[in-house]
Amino acid sequence: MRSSVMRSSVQHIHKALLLGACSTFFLAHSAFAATADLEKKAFNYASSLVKGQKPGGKVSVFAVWSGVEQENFLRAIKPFTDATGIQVEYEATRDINAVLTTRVQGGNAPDIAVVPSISLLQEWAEGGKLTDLDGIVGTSVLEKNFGPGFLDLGGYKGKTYGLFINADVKGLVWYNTKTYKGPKNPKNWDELAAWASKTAAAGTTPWCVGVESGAASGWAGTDWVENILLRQSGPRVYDQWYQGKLPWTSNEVKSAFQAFGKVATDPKMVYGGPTTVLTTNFSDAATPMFGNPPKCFLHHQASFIPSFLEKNTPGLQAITGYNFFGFPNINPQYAGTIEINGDMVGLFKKTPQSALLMKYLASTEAQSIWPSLGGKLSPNKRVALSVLPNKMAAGFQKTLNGARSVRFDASDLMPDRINKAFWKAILDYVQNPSRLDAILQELEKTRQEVY
Amino acid sequence: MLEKLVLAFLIPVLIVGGLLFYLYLGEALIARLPRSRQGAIRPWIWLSPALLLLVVIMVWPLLQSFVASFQHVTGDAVTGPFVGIQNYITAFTDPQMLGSMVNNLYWIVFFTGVTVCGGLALAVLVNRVKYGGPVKTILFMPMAISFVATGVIWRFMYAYRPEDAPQIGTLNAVVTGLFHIPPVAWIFQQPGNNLALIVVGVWMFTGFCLVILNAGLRSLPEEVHEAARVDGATEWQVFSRITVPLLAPTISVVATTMVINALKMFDIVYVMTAGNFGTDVIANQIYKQLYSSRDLGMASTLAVILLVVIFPFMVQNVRRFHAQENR
Repeated sequence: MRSSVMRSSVQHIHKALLLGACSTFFLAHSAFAATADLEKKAFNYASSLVKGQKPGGKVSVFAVWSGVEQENFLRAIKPFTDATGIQVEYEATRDINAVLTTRVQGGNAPDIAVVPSISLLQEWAEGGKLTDLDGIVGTSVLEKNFGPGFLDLGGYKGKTYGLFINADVKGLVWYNTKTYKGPKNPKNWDELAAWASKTAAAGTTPWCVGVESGAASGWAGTDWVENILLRQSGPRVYDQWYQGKLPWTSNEVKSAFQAFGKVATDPKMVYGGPTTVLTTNFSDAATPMFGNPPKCFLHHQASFIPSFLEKNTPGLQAITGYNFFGFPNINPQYAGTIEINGDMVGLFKKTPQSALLMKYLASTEAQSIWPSLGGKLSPNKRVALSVLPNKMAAGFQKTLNGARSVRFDASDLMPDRINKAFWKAILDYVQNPSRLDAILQELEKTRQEVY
Repeated sequence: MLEKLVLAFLIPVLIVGGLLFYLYLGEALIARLPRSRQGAIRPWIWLSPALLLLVVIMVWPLLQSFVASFQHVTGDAVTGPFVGIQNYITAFTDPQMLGSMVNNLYWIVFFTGVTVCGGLALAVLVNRVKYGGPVKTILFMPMAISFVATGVIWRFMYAYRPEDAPQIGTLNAVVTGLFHIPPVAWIFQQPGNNLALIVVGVWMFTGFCLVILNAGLRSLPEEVHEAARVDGATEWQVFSRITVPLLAPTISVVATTMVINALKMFDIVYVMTAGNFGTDVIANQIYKQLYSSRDLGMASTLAVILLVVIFPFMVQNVRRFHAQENR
């Protein structure tokens, strides 16, 4: 049942995103809205929620965002606190899975928290740990602000439990504007691969890849495999795959791994060879691209990476210093597919304060602030393109809008155990590519146990 | 914030006050009993708060884990259908779990071996130099750092960069700068990476072994050593025939403590490799089973196995303590 819902829902995401496309044209010449204006609007909205009163009190929010992401989120909720006097007690951990699971189990859940996976959302919705948002935010408001795609991802049995706070476009190929001489909008993967082989033969590794990420090591590689599979075998096979209906030992999965392996396990194709791929953190992976001389020319990562690029290479600027193109098509039959991702929050403890905050977070006013600060897009379809801080962010949106079909990150849709096994498989494969068949068999065994 | 601080002070006061009240009440009740029975009841009155706490936070969960280890428990549930010894069969047949157990064996052998032998050697040596005190302090210092911080520090020590890039890791800087050989991916390359992790544990715990063993050494009767030297024993003979046998109870306590540490090892592995690249250990498997697979049954099984393995060492330790106290 879920499959049909998903298929139609992703088309809706696509439509929702298309809505913004018309304004894209004007963007290049218009001034970008200042965040201050958006904050004022959000303040006014929050005031209207409490009708000018200041109820005060506290809401605890538990999330995964740290560093710049945390700052941006806190800025997005500051107008709420200013207008209502409700303090937000923010806590963050990257290991939210373990911490939140324990707290939910122990009956000590925070008021509002980022739900780390779709499978946990469903489990907690079923177990009554999460409060549905239809009665709080209002079904009509939810439907007005979010495409059915995002609502379905956060939904369970016809009710909405997960509210998407931000969105990323995945499957983007980044390059150094000053040094990259290859095709800037390759018509397919073969064209890019041909250029990459030529570059490799000339003595420079074309790609930079890094999959290290602490306890989550490997995820950056799963994005590669997902984006390849999506373009090799198409959205339908992709759906079957994350739904656990496609064997990991199938040709589709295997050839996606192999295409990734052609880059990540070949010392001529990837900077530093597989050892560097395994030992380099995803956030640092692209840094050698901006070295003098450059150690590579291409890097695959989602739309959140610019903040890391600019932090690691001071003075680097979007468009003039670095730019991106969408992951090239592989099978022309499935041209124009794209992968997205995002974070959602759920309401664990309903209090007057937490209900107000949920309502606020769902609003277009609140959802405009984070995208305006850069790094993230909004899943709220009514957030205007003009809030985006620069042409690059508008470009992500354009990539989205140009897509014929949209899919959510497959590994994040898989049960956590499969997801983790997938991460590990990436590491094992990069370290020992000849073991691919055995690795896929292990994954297949896990699939059969889980689904 | 202020509320929490007030609570933090208030709760201990209430607990201590409550206990005192309980004891006062208990004594008042005992006083009413015939004198002959007072002696039998008093210890239980005094012990029962501690026993109650132990039952609630130790014995009861232990029993629950034991029961859950024979059940198939998933998700948020705390119990499930009984599946017999199925979990135990999986624990001893699944290649990943078996691999973890083998790695724990490595930890027991190398971690315990090096910390105890190294600690012993250092304990003997620091006694013979004037600056022994400061040396002990410095070697003991890693104990003051949390496991997680240690893991992070050593990730930097072991950091790997490609051959043509500047090495930011201390070890690879030495390797490439001094010996002019290519950098090594210490914690990634199998099979050596397990040893690289064990080195971190050794760095943390050798100082601890040193301090305990040194204290033991100082309590040994000096005359026996003197007598052996007068009889013409070499320093090595004094060490191996006199010092070590006399110190055996202390060595045993230190060694069993280290074995237990090796079996429980989690933080270093979790922080440095997350159990990837063939470095997984049982404690990390428990974590994965509980939070990733959401399989409380399997996690309980592994916990019970760990407990059963650790138990004899624990008993041994307690016995030694008793023996020493009774001497």
